[in-house]
Amino acid sequence: MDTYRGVDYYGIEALLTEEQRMVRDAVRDWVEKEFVPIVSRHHRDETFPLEVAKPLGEMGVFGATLKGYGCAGLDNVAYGLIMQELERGDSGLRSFASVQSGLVMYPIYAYGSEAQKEKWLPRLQSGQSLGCFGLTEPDHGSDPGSMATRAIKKGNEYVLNGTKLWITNGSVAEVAVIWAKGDDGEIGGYLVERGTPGFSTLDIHGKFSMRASITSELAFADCKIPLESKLPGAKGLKGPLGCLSQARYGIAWGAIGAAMGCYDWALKYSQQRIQFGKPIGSFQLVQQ
Amino acid sequence: MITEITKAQLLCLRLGQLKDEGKVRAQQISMAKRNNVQMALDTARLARDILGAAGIVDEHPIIRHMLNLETVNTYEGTHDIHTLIVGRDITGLDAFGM
Repeated sequence: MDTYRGVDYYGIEALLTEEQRMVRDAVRDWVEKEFVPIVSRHHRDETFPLEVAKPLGEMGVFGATLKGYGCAGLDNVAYGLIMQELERGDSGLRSFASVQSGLVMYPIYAYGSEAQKEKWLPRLQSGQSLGCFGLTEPDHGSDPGSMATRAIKKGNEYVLNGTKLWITNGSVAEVAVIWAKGDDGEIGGYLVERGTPGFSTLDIHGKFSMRASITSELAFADCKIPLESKLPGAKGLKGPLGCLSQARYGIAWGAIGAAMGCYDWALKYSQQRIQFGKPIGSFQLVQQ
Repeated sequence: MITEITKAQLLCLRLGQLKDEGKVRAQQISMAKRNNVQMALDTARLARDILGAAGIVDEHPIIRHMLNLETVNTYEGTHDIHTLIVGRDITGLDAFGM
């Protein structure tokens, strides 16, 4: 098949700034050269190529719209175009970047203390560290407000108990942004580091979807974390929902990338595949 | 396919402009997530159909995208939940309340 050139029927290209086009083209080229050749193997093997973290960091993908801490400070259309190009590669690749940016770096940036920001944002931006986001639980999906995970203050620590499920990058994350209810029943956000006693992860296998993506369960059994692990600015369900708005914005763009990839591939195929003596693209079903 | 992709592109471009202006509302993001993921899933299924039997093997990226999009349709607010979020926004009636 020929090189992928995107899909633009309405001349939307002309509405983009030079910076937006440059960022999109850089990510498009990287996906085509470095990711497309390896994704099928990872999909078959149910693995994720963690080595992409570094080049994605170098391209400024992680936390791309944030300012300072090594972040690129791009506008939201440029960020969306990045998500579009990543998902043209695979939804698992876009998820990898979405989680790191919208669900881990964003809450630390928006709700974190200066110490939390300085500790985590630069290394999350570079891809040196990965993060994950724990909101969904086995019994609480669309209704996160009824979550069962608790963070109870005891002396100079919080004690975490509960289980989080369907967590992208759970087992490879160095820091987990965990949402739990406190003594007062209010939802708060907590940064839990990998290796903390009482915190364990288990990967989910047998998936027929998102095979080239790591999906985990996180378990907390009397997991003790210091008081300064709490995100001071996140109060109530608004905290995690604010993160989800960021990530959903990226998904809206990413889905276009997956659709563009499928459309482009099917179009080229229909122009080459001959049945009844002519390309199948000449038949009405394909032309519509 | 191309018409729906074009509509989704315009939806996102405007959404991004609103976000940059600090005017975007979560319900508007819900609308774009809901629409675009369903659009992508429909596009992937149609593309798979065009490839015929070849559409089911991983030599072509389409079946992989199609299966992935089943997840994307569900996570970070399912298609149905975003229907209720936009519905509550326009009717003022809350499906989530007890």
